[in-house]
Amino acid sequence: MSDTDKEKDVSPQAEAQAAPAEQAAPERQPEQVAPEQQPETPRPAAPRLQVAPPQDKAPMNPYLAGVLLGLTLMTSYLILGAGLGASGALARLGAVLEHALLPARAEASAYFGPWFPNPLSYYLVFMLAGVFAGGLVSAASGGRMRLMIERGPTASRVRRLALALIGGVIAGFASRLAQGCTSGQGLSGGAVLLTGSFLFMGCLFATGYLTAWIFRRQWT
Amino acid sequence: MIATLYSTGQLNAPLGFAAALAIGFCFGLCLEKAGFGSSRRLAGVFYFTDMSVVKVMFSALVTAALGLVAAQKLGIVAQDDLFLMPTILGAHAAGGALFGLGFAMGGWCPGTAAVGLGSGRMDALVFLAGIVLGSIGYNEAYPWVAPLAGYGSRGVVFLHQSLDITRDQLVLALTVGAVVMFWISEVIERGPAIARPGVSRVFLAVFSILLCLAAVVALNLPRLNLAPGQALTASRAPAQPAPAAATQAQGQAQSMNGQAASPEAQMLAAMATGKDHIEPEELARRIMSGDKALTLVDIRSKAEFDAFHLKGAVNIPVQQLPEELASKRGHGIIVLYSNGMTHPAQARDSLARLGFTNVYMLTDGLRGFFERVLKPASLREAPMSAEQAKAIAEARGFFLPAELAAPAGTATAGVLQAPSALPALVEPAWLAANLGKPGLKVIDLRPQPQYNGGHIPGSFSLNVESLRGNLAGLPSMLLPAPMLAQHFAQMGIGARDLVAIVSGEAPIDATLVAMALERLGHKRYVILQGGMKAWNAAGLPKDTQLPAAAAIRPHAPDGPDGFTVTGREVQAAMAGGKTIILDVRPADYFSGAKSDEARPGHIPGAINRPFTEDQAKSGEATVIKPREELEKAYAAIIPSKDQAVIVHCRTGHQASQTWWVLTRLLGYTNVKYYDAGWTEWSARPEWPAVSSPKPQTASPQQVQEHQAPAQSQGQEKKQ
Repeated sequence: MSDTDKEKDVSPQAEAQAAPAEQAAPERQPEQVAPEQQPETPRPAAPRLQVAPPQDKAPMNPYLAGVLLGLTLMTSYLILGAGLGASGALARLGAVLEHALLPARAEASAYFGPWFPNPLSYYLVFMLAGVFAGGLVSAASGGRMRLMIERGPTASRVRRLALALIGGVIAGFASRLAQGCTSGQGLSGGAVLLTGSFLFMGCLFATGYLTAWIFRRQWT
Repeated sequence: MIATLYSTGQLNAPLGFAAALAIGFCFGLCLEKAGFGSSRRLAGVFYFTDMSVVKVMFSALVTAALGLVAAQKLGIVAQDDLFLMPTILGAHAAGGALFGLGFAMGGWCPGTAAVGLGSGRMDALVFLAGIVLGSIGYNEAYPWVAPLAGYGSRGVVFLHQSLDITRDQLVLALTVGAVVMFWISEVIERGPAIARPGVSRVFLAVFSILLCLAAVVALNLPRLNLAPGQALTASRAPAQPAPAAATQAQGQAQSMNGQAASPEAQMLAAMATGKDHIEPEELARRIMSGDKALTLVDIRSKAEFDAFHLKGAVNIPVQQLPEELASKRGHGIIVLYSNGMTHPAQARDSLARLGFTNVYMLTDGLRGFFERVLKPASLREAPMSAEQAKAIAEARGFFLPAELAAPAGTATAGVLQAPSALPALVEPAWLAANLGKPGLKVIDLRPQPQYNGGHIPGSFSLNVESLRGNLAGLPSMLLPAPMLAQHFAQMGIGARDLVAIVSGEAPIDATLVAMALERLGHKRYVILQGGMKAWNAAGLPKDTQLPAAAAIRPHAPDGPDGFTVTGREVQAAMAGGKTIILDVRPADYFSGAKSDEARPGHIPGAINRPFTEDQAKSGEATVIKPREELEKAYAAIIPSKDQAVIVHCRTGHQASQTWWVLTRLLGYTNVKYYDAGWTEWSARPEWPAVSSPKPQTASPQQVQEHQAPAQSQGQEKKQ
C-alpha cells in the first residue's frame, strides 16, 4: 500500500477508534498493534503474500463492534422480521450452479427443487451482497484490505487452501442441515432465545475446540 | 407497531431485497470492524489466542436479545411477525457439530468469509466456494439426510421453555453469563500464552455494568400491548386481501425450507392466524400460473378424484400422506383439499406433528373453490365487474371439463356460503340457510328480555351500549380496540369467524357493532337486513337456548383504526374547507330547533343528511335502502368517491350507519367518523356553531337519558 493510501486511511481509522480510545486511553497504545502481528513482528516478511503486514490497522474495540452488530441484528428483526444470514445465499448460488450444469436434475431435486425458477430471488442473497460490500468498504477505509492467503508463517499455501475448501464444504453441508450458519442460526436465533440456536452454538464450539488442534499447523 | 416485511409477505419482494441489502451492508461493516475479515483472528478463538469471536458474538447476542425483549414489551414488534426457526434437535446438534469442524478447519464461517473476501483474503474465496459445493452436496444427499434433518423436531421452542425458567431469568442469566465470559476472555488474552493487553479493565467494568443495567431496564419495561403477537393479524386484515395471506404463507414456506414440525401450540397459532389455510382464489392463481413449488393433494376417495379433481392434483389416501409427501417436507407448499375442511384439517395437523411445516388446507375445500372461483358470474349475488367476470370465465375454462358449463347445482351443504364480498347486507333466507354452519356467529342486539323470549338459534345477546364508554371525558365513545376485542373474544368470536349482526329494529345498532368490528380490522361480518323483525316476518325458527361458547384469546390491532377523527381534526377540516362534513342528525336538531346538548345548531359548513333518509320500511322492519337509490342520493351530495368526508351525529350512533353505507355499501374511500360528534363540539364554546331558528333550551332529562342502554332501540324515534 502506498504512502498516499495510508494518509487517506488516517481519518476513518481515527473515527473508528475514537470511542474506545476515550475509555481505554491508558492501555490503548499497545492495542494499536494488531494482535496477529505480535508473534510475527520479529520474523521477516514473506516475499509476496504477506501473512500479517506490519501496517495492518487494529480493528475496533470488540465489545463496541459487538454492540453495533447487535443493533444491526435488532434492526433486521424489526424491519425484515427475520434475522441476519449468510449461508442461505450461498446455497442459492449452489442451486444456480447445479442448474447450470444439470438443469433437469436440479429442478427435480428434493431440496433445491422448490427454489426454482428463481433461486436468487431471495432476500438473503441480497443480504450477502451487502455483507460483501460492507466488508469491502470497511476494509478499504480501515486500511485492512490485503490481497493474500491468510495462514501461519510456516504453513504452505496448498495446505491452507485445501483446509479452507474442505472446511467450506463441511460448513456448507452443516449449515443446510442446521438451517443456518453462525449468523443465521447461532446469532440470529440466539438473540430470539431459540433452543435450537443454543444447541447449535454449543455443539459448534464443542467440536471446534475438540478438533482445532488437528488443524493448528496452518496457523503456525 | 411495526408490520415487518416478513409479516406483510414482502420479504422476497423488491422492498425486502433493498432492506436486506442495506442491513447486509451494516452487517458486513460490523464484522469487518470487529476484525473478522481475518481468518487467523477468527480461528484464534479455538486456540485461545484471540477471543474476539466470543466477545463480539456475545455482545451482539445480548444487545439484540435485550433490544428485542424491549421492542416486544413496548409493542413495537409482535413475536408473530418475526420469522422464528423451529428447533430440530437432531439437525441442530449434528449441524452444529459438523459446522464447528468446518469452522475450525477453514478458519471462516459464511458471513465472515464474505467479509474476508471483501478484505482481499483468497482463502475466504476458496472457503465460500466450499460452502457452495457443500450446499450442492446437501441437496444431492438430501434423500438420505432427510430423516436426520427432521429428527427431534420440536417446533418453535425457546430456551427458557426448554429449561423451564422464565424468559426474564434466561435473559438475565445470558447477560451475566456474557459478562463472565468477557472477563474470562480478557484473562485468557492477558495470560502468559498471549500476554496481550486487551481493553482496559475500567472499560470492561463500565461495559459490564451498562450491559447488566440495560438488562434490568429492558426486563422491567411496562408491557404496552395487551395481546402481543396477535395484534397485527386483525389490524392487517383490511389492507391484506386473501391472496396476500397465502403469499405470506409462501414466504414462510420458503424461508423455512428444510425445516419441520410444530407442536400443538404452533398448530393452534397457525389456526388462529389463518396461516394453515390457502384461499381458493390464491390456489387458483398458483395452479393457473404453473407454480412449481405447489404440491396439490386431493385426499378424497379415488372414485371422487376420478370424477373430478383440480388440475395438477394428485390423489393420496390420508393414511399414505406422510410417506408419499416425505420428499416435500419443508419444501414449497403442500395444499390438501377435500370436499369440505374437516378431513384436510385433521390430515394437516397429523402432518404438522410429523414435522411438515408447509402444509396448508384449502379454505372451504373443493366446495369453497367452486363457490368462490368457479361459480359463474351470472349466479353471483354481488355484481361483477367485467374483469372479474372474465377471470371467472378463464378459471372455468381452465379447471372445468368443456361439458360442465353450468355447475349451478354444486353440492354446498354443510359449508358456510359467505357472500363473495364482505362486509355485506344479507337477507334472512341467507342466514337461515347458513345457520349452524361452522364459522358463523350470530349476534342479537335486542334488549335482553326480548332475546330471552326467543332468538335465532345459537345467537349471542349483546348490548350495543357495552361497546361504548367514556374516553377521556367524552361520553358514548366506541371503546378502544383492546376492550372491544375482549368483548368478542369472550363470546369466542375470532378473526376467522363470519359474524352476522342482527339488530332489533334500528339498523344503527347493527352498524355500530360493525364499527366496533371494523376497529378490530374484522371484515368478516354481515348485517341482517331488517334485523330480528325481518327474521320474525319470514317465520324463521327461534329458540330460547343460550349458545355454547368458550372464550378465546383476544386479537386487538395496535394503533388507530384509520377512520375515527377527533374534534380538532374536524375543526381543521372545517377550516380547510375541502372536506364535506355530513351531519346525519334529524333536521330539527341540525337546524337548532331542537337540542339536547350544550348548544343547539351545527358545525359551520356542515351538510345535513339525516340518517333516516337512508332507511326504508319493509313491512314491520326498518331496512337500509337499496344500493342504487342510495348511490343516486349521495352522488348529489358528494362529488366523487374519494372526496374527503366526515360524518357525525350527536354520539356517533347514527353516524355509524351513514359511515357504513358510504364506505361499505357505496364504496366511498375517504370517509371519516367523528365519534364524539355534536356532544363534544357543542360543549366547546370556542368552536363555532351555526343555529338558524331560535334555540330551545335543552331539557336536562333528555341530556341524562342519552346514556341509557335501552335508548339505542328507540333512538330513531327520540331524535
